Order: sequence, then structure tokens, then C-alpha cells
Amino acid sequence: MLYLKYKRYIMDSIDSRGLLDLVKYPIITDKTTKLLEENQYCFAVDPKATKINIKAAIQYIFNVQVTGVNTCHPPKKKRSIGRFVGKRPHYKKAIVTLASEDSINLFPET
Amino acid sequence: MAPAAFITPVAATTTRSSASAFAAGGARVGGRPAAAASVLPVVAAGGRRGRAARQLAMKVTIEESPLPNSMRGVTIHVSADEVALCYNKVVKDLQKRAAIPGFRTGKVPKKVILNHFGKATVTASAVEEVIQHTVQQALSSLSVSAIGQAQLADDVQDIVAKFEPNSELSFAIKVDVWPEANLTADYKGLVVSAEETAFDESIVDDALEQARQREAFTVLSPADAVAEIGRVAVGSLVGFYRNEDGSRGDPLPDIASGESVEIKLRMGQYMAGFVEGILGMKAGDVRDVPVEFPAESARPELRGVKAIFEVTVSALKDEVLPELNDDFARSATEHDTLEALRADIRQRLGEETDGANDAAVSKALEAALAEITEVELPETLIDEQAKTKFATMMSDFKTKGNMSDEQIKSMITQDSYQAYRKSAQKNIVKSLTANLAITKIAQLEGIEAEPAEVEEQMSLIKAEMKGKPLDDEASVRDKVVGQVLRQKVLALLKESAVVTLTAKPTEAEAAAAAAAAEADAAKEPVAAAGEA
Repeated sequence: MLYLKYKRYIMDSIDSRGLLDLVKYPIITDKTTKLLEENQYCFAVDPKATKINIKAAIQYIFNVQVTGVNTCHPPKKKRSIGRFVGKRPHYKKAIVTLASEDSINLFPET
Repeated sequence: MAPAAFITPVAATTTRSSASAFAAGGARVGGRPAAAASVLPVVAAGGRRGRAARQLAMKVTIEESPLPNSMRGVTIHVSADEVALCYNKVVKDLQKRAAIPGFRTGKVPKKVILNHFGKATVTASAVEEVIQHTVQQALSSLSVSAIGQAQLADDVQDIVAKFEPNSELSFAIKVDVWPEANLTADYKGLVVSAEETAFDESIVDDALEQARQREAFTVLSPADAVAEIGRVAVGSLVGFYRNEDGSRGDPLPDIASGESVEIKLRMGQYMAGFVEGILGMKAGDVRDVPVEFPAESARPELRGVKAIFEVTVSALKDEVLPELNDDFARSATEHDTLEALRADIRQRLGEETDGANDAAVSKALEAALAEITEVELPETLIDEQAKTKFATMMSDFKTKGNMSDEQIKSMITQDSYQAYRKSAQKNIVKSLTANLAITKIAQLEGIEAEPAEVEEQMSLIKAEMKGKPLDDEASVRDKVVGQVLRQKVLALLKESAVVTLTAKPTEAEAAAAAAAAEADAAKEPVAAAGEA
């Protein structure tokens, strides 16, 4: 039963084709730029992604070594339009720690 | 897909997956896609930039090259240090102000700033900054004085394209410079002819006649006299509104009525129809006179009102003008004899004609100067002059033509200014040329405005302002100096010049000349409008 309840949050297997879709975008805020100093990068990821999936995805996409992944679901944000109340798109937040020799360039030259 | 290509923009254009969203939108900031080339916030362009600008003492090296039309090309080289200074200042300014979601104001890292606004935009404002600071500097170190605004010789885009935050930048500007007048002939002994305004003896007679009218007195007419032009009727008035059918209506407000009023019987003296209605009355007659108040009557409630006046004539008087003799001179003025009075009037009115003659000679001299002067006038100077003249013309319309602000405003358009400029160009060029020639002569002759003279003029102007402070004392002083110089130079020219005064054309000749001018104007509309 428990499995069924959380089924939508669980990815069955690691599929390298799905890895690209897993990571949505890096989250860049005041707080996360501070994390960069500790070689930690923050991403919005698919709500169903597990830490194992995330690690695989980041290693695959950026060609780096991931030493740790912390995740959380930020609170969902309600928005109402007239009398209809809905939610904003929701992503899981993943804070990825890289091996000290690796880094990701979040600010490509435009 | 190659992982390494993921973060480059090239990959972004070729992939479809969420990876493309990642790269194409750049990094998402605070959950919203950061616009790569968004416009910089307005605050970044103004505010305290001025103070910072003064702190930036830019060192520039310049190369000058003369261009046609009294222009000068200037190539400005800015060293790498100065460029870096400007660039960092722009970024810092943005950092201070930019409100980027996810960051507290003033805490945004430089990289995020560059990504958020786009490197191109930041570069563009850095270039603007560099230009803004260096051009002033370059102009002040020019060998000649510049006028008007400097223009970039090449496109701004080109400068932006070659801009690097940490390397030297050079760009070219062009600017109008004060033109140098070149006198092609000797300015001494100019031969000019000016129109003479002859003194008209008849205006003295007119003035005396007016004085007589003022001093007129009245005597009672014979008993059987009828009211006619030139007489004065004494009587009472009662005013009524006039109905449509011509009958009397309600009484007029008592302002228009009166007892034993003196009515001078002259055409056009009062409301339309009033004097005509009284003509032919005798003493003791009562008559209803229909009148119409003029539309511009002083009293608003009476404007355009149709009325009837019940006029009762109690007596008629003859108006007698005093005889023109010494007695009249003595009673009306402080002069003892009529001849003295005449001489006085002639002298007073003569000043005007003298002034007019002087002005005509000066004008002719200036025209002659403009003829022998070669000068390349820059566009800016002409434009400036045209603008000033246009503004003066508009304010003249307002004061003399009794026009409302709205009417004036509707007349001040880009089109009307351009039309005016086109028409006035010839005149402006002429007067500017003459002015430059005068300046040149003042230089050649070593004529200078005496400080005492300038001070005198300044105090006169200040007295006219009645204690109010002058808006711009320095520019007023400049103008005064210019005027003093001009008078001196013109006086010098007048001494040496051969001036022939020609009689002013009679009215018939003037009409013929005007017709000829009109015919010319048809051929050359620009010239005619220029006169206007």
C-alpha cells in the first residue's frame, strides 16, 4: 500500500535517455551562490527523481564526480486566478556536492 | 548527445529536450527565465552617475583633423586602464541597483549581473560611459573652440562590437567649430548706399492738430441749430434693451444712462448708430435711438447687445478749436511762441528719423561686409540661430498678436520650424556672416570692449529687471560685450565708408517695388519668406 501511495514519486529504473529531462534548471539565488563556494550546486529536478537518479544525471550531463546529494520538496505555491485556485509548477530541489576538483560553469559567456 | 556541449549556446539551438531550455534560457534565476538582452534599468543611467563622473578624470589622447563645413574630426584614444575603470563602474552601478529575483538588492554577483542583462547591453552602456566622459575631455583640449554637440563619426554599434573590457578603445567624433571669417577685400572705405528716411514736415502739423483737438472748447449754438457733425449735444440718456420687433424692452443697467451728458457728434465716437440717430435733432427734442454695442465693449454684459436710447437733447453746442498762435502755445505747452513749439516737436520726432537713418546705414554696412566675407558656417550655428529667432517670433505673436497659449502651442511644431528655418536660412547666414566679420575686424583692429562701458550697460539691464536677479549673468555679459564691440566696429567702418543716402521711394514707387519683389518672390519663394 505504501508503495502505491508514493508510486508517482518513484522512478523505476535509471534510463540514460531520461536523465536529460530529469534536471530542469539550476537555481540561482543569493543563497545558492553562497553554496557555490563549498562546491555545491542547486538544481530544480523532476519531483519523481531520487538522489541516485540525480547523481547519475549530474555526472552524465556535466561530466563531473558527485559526492553527495541532498533533496527537498519546497512548499508548493498557490496561485488563484479569479475564484480558481491552483498551484504553480512544482519541482524538487536538489543540492549536489561535487568532488573538490570538479566544477560546473553556470554562467556561460553570452 | 555530448554532455560537454550541454552548456554551450550552440548546443542549445540544436537540441529539443529540457536541456535546450536549460541553455537557451540561460540559467534560471529565482525560478524565472532570465532575459538575456533585457534593457538595463533606467536608474542605472542617471542618479548619482554625475558625481561619479566628476571623480573620473579620464586621460585621453586625441588626434585632430579638419573637415569641410567648419567641422573638425577628432579621434579619441582611451587607454585600457580608463576603459576598465568605466566598465567596472557600469557593472558596479548595476550591482548596486539591479533588482534580480532571488537576490537582495546590492548583493548580486557580477556574473549574475552579466548574465541577467546580457553582456552586450552592459558593454553598450560601458561604451556610452566612456564616450560621455572622454568627449567632454577631448573637446576641452581641442585647439579651437567647439560649438554644439559632438557627433560620433561611426556607428555606435561598431564601437560596441570592438569594445573589450580590458583593452584600449579608440573612436572618432566630429564636431562643429567656431568658423573663422576670411575677409576677401579691404573693409575700410566700403561704398554703401542706404535709404534715407526724410523728415516729414506734415507730422508736425498732425501733432499740432491733435493738440488743438485736445484743447477744444465749446460755445452754445444758436437757438435754431440742429445737431450735426462737429457739434456737441447736451442731454440725458435712458437706455433700454431692444426687442426683436424694435420696441423697448427692459431698462439697461444704469451704467449706460446719465443726465446732462455731453455727446460729441463725431463719426465712430460711440456705439454704432448712436451719433447717426442724433443728427438732425434740435434743443428740446426727444428721440429713441437704436444702437448696437460693439462686440469688444469694455463691459462684458453689454457686448453685442442691441439697445434703444431715449435721448433728450437739452442744448446744442458748437465745438471751437483754438487758433494756432502764440497764445495757444503758451496755454497748452510751456513754450512761449508757436515757432518754439514747432521746433520742439520737430526735434523730438526727428530723433526717430535720425535713429532710423543710423540703423539703415549700419544695415547697409553689414550687408556690404557679408558680401566681402568668406566663411564656412557650420550647420549647428545656423540651426541655433534659427531656433532663437523662431522662439522670438512666437513670443512676438503672443504679445502683439493677442493669441492664446493654445494657438501658439499648435503653431510650434517640427514642421513649422523646419519651414521657418528653410525660409529664414538666407537671412540668418547673412547676419551670421556679418557678425563673424565684425568679430574678425575687432580682432584685426585690436578693438576691445571697455569694462566701464560694459558695466554701464549691465547696470542698465539690471535696473530694467527691477532688482530681480538675472537668469544667466555670464551670458548676458557676453551679449553686452558683443554689442559694445559691434557698435565700435560699426562706428569705425562708418568713418571710413563712403555712404550715400538715397531718398526713400514715394508710395507709388514703393508699391511698384513691392510688386517687383512679389514677382521675384514667385520665382524664389525662399527669399520672400526670408524677409518675413
